[in-house]
Amino acid sequence: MSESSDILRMEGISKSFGSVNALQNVTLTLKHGEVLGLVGDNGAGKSTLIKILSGAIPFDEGSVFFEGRQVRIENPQDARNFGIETIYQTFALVGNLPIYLNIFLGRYRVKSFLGGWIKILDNKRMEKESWDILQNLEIDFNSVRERVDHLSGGQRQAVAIGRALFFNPKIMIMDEPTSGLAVKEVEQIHEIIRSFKRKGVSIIFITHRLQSIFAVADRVTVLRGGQNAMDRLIAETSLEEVVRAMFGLHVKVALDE
Amino acid sequence: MSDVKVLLKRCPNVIFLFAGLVVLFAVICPPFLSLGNLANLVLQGSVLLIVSLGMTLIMLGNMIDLSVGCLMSLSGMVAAMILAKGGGTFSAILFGILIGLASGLFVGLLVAKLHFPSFIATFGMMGIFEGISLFSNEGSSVYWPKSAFNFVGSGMLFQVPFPIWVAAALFIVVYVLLYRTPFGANTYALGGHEEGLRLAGVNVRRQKVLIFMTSGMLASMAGLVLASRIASGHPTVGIGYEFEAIASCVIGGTTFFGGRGGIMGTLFGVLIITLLRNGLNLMGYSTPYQYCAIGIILVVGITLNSIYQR
Repeated sequence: MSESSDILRMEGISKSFGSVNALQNVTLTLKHGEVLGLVGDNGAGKSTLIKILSGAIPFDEGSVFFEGRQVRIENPQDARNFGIETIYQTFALVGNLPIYLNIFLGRYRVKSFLGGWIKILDNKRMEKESWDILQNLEIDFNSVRERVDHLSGGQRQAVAIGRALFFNPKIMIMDEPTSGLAVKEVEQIHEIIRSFKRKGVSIIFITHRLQSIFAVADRVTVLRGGQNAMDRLIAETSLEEVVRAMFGLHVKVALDE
Repeated sequence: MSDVKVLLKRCPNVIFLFAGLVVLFAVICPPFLSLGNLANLVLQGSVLLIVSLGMTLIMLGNMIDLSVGCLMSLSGMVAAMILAKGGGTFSAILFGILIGLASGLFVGLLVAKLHFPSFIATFGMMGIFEGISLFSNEGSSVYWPKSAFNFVGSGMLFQVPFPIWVAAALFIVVYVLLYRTPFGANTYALGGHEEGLRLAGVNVRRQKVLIFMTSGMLASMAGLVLASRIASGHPTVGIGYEFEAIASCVIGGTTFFGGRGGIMGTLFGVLIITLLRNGLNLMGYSTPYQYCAIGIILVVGITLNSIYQR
């Protein structure tokens, strides 16, 4: 069952791809306004778990509780309707469309005619609102009409973040937001996560960089081989303990970082 | 950016290819430039334009539809048989278009729900449509007593042949659909990054079905105009249109990989193909030469487009 302080609880989630058990009886909880770090080695099941939560893939067994009620998330639209936004590692942007259509992809601002039978894109409004949201993220853009495949990696990430932010999410899922970024940019991402938290957004972020977890997370959940391996408040754990949970107890831990 | 500039950006380099061909034919064969011939050229192009508009949507969505030519034959046959049995113009048009919508729905479901590659699904439908067209009147043409339906293909409105009006109106409708509606944005996104569109919460399957239905409807309309022009239902009249439509799109800059191109390019692609056929006809070169010429221009067009896009 779900406590009232939990915004989300995934319980007993199992998922297999053919004969591979990607997840076995995994439980994940997220409290209101919390930043949760989800870590694990490659193949531990982190991505599978968040894809299930974002409606990208179905699961075999288990239940999902959102704000205390059991819910069904069967496709990405269901997740969006609950206020669950996901920033994928690949950003899932459409390269041949301009920035503003990517931000409003699937949720276009339209003007309705003939009692809603004809819907015409309100490009002016989408351009203006896109421009405003990107200005807030303090990343330079020439024009929101620019096609996404002409943008740099950092700009693309900003578009993906802007898109997730625009619709006032309750839960933000970030898949490896710091991968491939320079140190300074990593710090920017940390700052963005903190600013989401200040707005009351609950955040799940997946990362390989354990330093990021200790920099911004309130709690850490570790998966290993498709199962829960650890769940602790950051204040009550150490880098060493997390690494041991990730790789198993018998690994000799060498922490030079 | 001004609207004119946006429009120019949407007209790819085929404009120059088109202009070059006009000059070439005008020099080699002066009767080409007569007003009568130019009007005839536009008239000849109108049927191809209607079916190519649908093909553009399909190809922008990273799919292909080989069945549109035979669907044209079938729609024409259905309308002709209704008229021959004493049915009205309205029901002939209605059922002709319904055939297109139903076919689009069916193909769309094969592709979207059962994950058939569109090439295979429409290749199969091509054979089925052609078979039904041939079966329906034992392989011969269907004629009807002269009726209002004949106006669709050979009537004049304000001294302009009616098919040109139909093609122009449908061009505007598809233009708005493609560049001003969620349907259009989703079509480009489908061809650009299907998974990205799905993760954005858009029902990708529904989008595919809608694209096929729109294309099927346009193909059946083209079939009706064609049947009315030749004043009969002919079971094989549409064969070959699928390839000319694909060629028009490709020459106009719409790629086989989806998400790139648009209907301004297709308009000029249609004009180029029609112009080649018309010019070669005037100079006395028959169909085999015309096929060669279309093939050559296709290769030239693709080469120019790939240089241009680099």
